[in-house]
Amino acid sequence: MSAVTGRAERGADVELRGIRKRYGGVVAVESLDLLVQPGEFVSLLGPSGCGKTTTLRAIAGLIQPDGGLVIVGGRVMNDVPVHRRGLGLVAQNYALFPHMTVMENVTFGLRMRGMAPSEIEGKAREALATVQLAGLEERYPRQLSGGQQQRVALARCLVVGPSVLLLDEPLGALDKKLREAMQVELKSLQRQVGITTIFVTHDQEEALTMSDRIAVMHQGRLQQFATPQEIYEAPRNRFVADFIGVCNFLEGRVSGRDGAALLLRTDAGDLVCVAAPADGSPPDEGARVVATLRPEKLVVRAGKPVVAGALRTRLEALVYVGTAVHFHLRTPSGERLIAYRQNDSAPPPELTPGAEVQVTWEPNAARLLPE
Amino acid sequence: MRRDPGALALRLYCGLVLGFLSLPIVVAVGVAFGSDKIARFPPTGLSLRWFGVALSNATFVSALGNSVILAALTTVLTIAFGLPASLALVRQKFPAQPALEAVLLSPLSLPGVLFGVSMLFFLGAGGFGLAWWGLLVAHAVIAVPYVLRTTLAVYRAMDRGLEETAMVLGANPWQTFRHVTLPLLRPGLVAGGLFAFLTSFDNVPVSIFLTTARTTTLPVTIMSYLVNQDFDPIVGAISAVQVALVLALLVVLDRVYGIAQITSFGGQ
Repeated sequence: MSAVTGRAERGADVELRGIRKRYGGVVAVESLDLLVQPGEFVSLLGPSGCGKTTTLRAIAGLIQPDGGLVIVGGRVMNDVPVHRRGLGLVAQNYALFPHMTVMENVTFGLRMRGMAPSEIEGKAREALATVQLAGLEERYPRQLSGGQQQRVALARCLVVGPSVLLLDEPLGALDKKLREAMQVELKSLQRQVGITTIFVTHDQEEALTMSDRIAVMHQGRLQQFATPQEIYEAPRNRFVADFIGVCNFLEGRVSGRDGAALLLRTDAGDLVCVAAPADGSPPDEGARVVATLRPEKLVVRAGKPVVAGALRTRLEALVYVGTAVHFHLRTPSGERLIAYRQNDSAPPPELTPGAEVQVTWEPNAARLLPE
Repeated sequence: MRRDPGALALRLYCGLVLGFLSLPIVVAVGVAFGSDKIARFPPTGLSLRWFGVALSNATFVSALGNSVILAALTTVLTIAFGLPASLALVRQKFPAQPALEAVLLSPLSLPGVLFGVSMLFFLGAGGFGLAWWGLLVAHAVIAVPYVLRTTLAVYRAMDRGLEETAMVLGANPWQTFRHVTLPLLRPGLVAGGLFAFLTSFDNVPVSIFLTTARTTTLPVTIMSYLVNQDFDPIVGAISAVQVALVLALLVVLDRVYGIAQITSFGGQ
């Protein structure tokens, strides 16, 4: 029960085995398997309706899955009622009790457990200090800013020493600046407490910044479960590549090898280099494949002289976004690409809309989708 | 302060509406403060004598007592019934839900006279006669929709996450109800209870069929007095007492909960 102090036993592991849930005929979650390590920060990421919130609610016990097991700390939780699961939940709108002061909100869980008032007081003060809210004990939630409300919700949750922290888009209601500040704060608090955290979000940037691992979900199914870097650099399928950041897709046929790299003949006839798959055997020569290219890894230069291994494109538009310039490109066969160029110097004058440009990249920057 | 013709017109309009609404009360109560032998407005002289006469009239006083007790018990009964009904209608899922809600709210759309007569037949057929509890039950039936409507409105607007969060934090179902649901429903219950009290307190069409000389209520007594005698200042005085009681109730509620609390259905 000393979770807020950081002396902390680590959180429990969470295992989901074959979780299924339908609403009417609509599949919310389909055969979901997930193993979250103790103390790990895992994001459930996906567009709305992907099943991430359903998954979180199944762990909390707020819904009963149609099938599968929810296991927390080695204990099957399916038949354990919500109030005995010993978890913590911060909802999107924080769900602070409007008729209670900050102090009453924070002590709620302890009071419901029948803890001695003297003990409650100390724990609550400790928790409020952890989230830097000392001095606001007697305020009502409506008298607090969005960021303060969020911290009260966190303190209320952590003070009961939950084995797992469940966060349902807790930063969604904050404005951009505050959200970014809270991301850092929440993450460092989580590290300090060492609590297993499952974080639901549709914001891929948020997931990338905060998570130890990300579970990307789509249409009720787990698409990929890996570290932020793996998710970004080596997406498992087109959905993941497209959902996380901006991604270019380049189609073509395998036409040989160049050392460690594969040669790809695009539909427009260019011969470009892509990384060979790290695991498994490379596709046969002539096989049709799709490569992913992140825009910031593309190098854009004037069309002439032609460089070996470059992709010929035409510049359609040039968008200035402050820190970078975005080049909207199109290949002769009609594929669209976006390339980012750091705004560290003025772009060469010949890169104007309508110009022929060639795009190159390090072979490792182009990954084949294993689909 | 800038003079805005629109704002001025609005004030004037509001003043007229309030005047229109309160004028009948002013007349009825004003008559009571007159010294005239017959009801006259405005009175030619001021006097409190009619209050003395009215309050020493045993028929009126016992009817007033009956009405207060009946209205108070009706309020308790409607809340005792309306609160669980709201919980079932909002948080449970069962097939007959819309039908049940319609049935519970239906007394609102049923003519009171018709319900009074039906209740009379029912009590007669059941061999209960004009039992006092029959009157109470009848009042509860016509007052339940008020409690139900306000409570349902508050409950449906309440964030479900509050109860869910309470449970995740370790509150069992009873604790969740006691510490989260109930306090947040309170504005709806208080407002609905107030309506229920007032509905019972000045009901004639149902009471008139179900009261006896012993159980008669104030509105029924006033009505039969008006039919048999005339509109004299005694009636004005007893009406003034009734209005004063209701105002006192409102003041107490305002002190305890705040009128804003009672009238806004969104909770805090």
